[in-house]
Amino acid sequence: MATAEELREALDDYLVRAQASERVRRTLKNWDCVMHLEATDIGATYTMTVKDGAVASVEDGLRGAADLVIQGSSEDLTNIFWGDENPASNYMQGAIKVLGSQEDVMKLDAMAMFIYLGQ
Amino acid sequence: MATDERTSNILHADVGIVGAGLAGLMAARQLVAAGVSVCVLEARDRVGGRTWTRPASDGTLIDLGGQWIGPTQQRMQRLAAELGAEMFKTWDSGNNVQYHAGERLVYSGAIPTADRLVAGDVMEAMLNLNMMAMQVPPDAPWTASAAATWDAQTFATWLDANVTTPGARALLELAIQAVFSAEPRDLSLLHVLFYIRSAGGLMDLIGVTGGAQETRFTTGAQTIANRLAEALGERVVLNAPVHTISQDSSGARIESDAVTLTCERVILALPPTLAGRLRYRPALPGLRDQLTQRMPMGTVIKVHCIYPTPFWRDEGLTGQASSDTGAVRVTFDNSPPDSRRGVLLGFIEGDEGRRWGQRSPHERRAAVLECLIHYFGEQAGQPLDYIEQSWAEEEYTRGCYAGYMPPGVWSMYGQALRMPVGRIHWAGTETATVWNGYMEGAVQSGERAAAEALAALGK
Repeated sequence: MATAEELREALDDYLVRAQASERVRRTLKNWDCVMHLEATDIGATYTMTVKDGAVASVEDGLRGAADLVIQGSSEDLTNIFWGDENPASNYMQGAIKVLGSQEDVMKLDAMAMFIYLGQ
Repeated sequence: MATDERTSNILHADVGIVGAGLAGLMAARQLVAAGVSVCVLEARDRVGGRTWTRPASDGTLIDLGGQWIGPTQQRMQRLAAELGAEMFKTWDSGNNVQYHAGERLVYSGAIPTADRLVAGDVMEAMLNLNMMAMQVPPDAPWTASAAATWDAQTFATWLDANVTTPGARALLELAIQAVFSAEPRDLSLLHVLFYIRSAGGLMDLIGVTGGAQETRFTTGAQTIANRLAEALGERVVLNAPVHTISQDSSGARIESDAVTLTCERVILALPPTLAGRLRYRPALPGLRDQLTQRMPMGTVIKVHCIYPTPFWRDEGLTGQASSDTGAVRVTFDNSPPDSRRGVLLGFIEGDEGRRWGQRSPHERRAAVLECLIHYFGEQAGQPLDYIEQSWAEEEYTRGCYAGYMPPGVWSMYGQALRMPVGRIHWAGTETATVWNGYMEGAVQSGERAAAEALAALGK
């Protein structure tokens, strides 16, 4: 289990790495997306907003209408946003639940892999 | 029930179906349920078409043809449940092997990540292909706004322009060979995009857990066709290769080597290229006939090596390998559900299939084992049994996994793919809009053709 603070720290770091990724900005240009994150075991929630392919903000709580809902345990969410776990691993595919349109899910998968790869 | 008329070899049914693969049997099932009489003529001495399960010398059941279903293949999931066909998950625990430039690497996840630039390029290409695929209407790919451009180039041309790192290109070529058993230069880009769209996405096509390779049948994939045929009983006639289909205002006539069938409607549940081998009276419209000249089947030899145990699991391996060289470039763990034996499955696909198909079985076996030793160690060189199936040699299939579109075909001939010709309706996985090329697509096509025939019969 991770604490809400640890998860928030991972998300803030993720934002910095997403903004540093040239590949994310190039391939996800024009992508706008509001993501609601739910750490189901500790009840912590966050909103991550992507604007024009860049992660623009991370906020506590669920804000606005979500395009994607991402659910998982605090531990798995923290591991994936720190980049400790390959998001394409079987384990992560089973541990993290993502709800949303096919297009948004595909774009999130690509972004997660680019950031994991440091690309 | 098909009823005898005068002599024992003239049958009559409301609907005559050619081909007892999943498409033809599914169409028959739907029609019988609607109270229509059917007769299914099958060229072979068995049902199942591209699904075919045989026991190895030690009794291990081996799927020589199609074998997997995935989580989004709802028709097959439902049908399997209705027929009581038991299923189990493909072994997918542990690491995968990548054999690249003569070196063996072990990795976890869907994409090898040792070279981060290569993995990034693969992900970027997959994202781009997925986004393009979403613009392709699966029921009319030629109407996509960029269809003309996409159908004027091969997948290889697209790779040339969009994927620069050699490692990423090799992985994408392998993915295409594994999905189509054809080469990137053989395939229209538009067809690749259509295929991705019809399956949902690229990961749905190439994935094991969560994808098209997720689930197997305990008693083999042919179980589905066998049970459908059992329920149809004498309505299925084996050893009856059809050669002529005639139609006029009074009805249709299907002539085979064994029996002649008169009917109101005909469902041809064959790949287009096989349908092109029949004689039609009157002749088919030119567009339809030329379509059958333009959809070649893929080339694949499916090989199984049986071992005393799935020894690779002890080393924490899934049994999945990918390689940029050798006869077998893709492998899977195909062990029985109780792991009583270890079975490695390898595919010899595309150009390798064409090359190795001309060699002796002895030479092929040696080449296959050489690959498996590279991927899984010396133990892989000592199988208890070796079983191979070359689908290009099958007169009544002519290649696997499916018929595909080279450049230009969707644009000019796409509309002829499902359009009925008089009393004839077209089924087969090649005509599907969902999971085209898969068992799921075959089932969808059978349901669709049955609905067309019912509507034409006024039922």
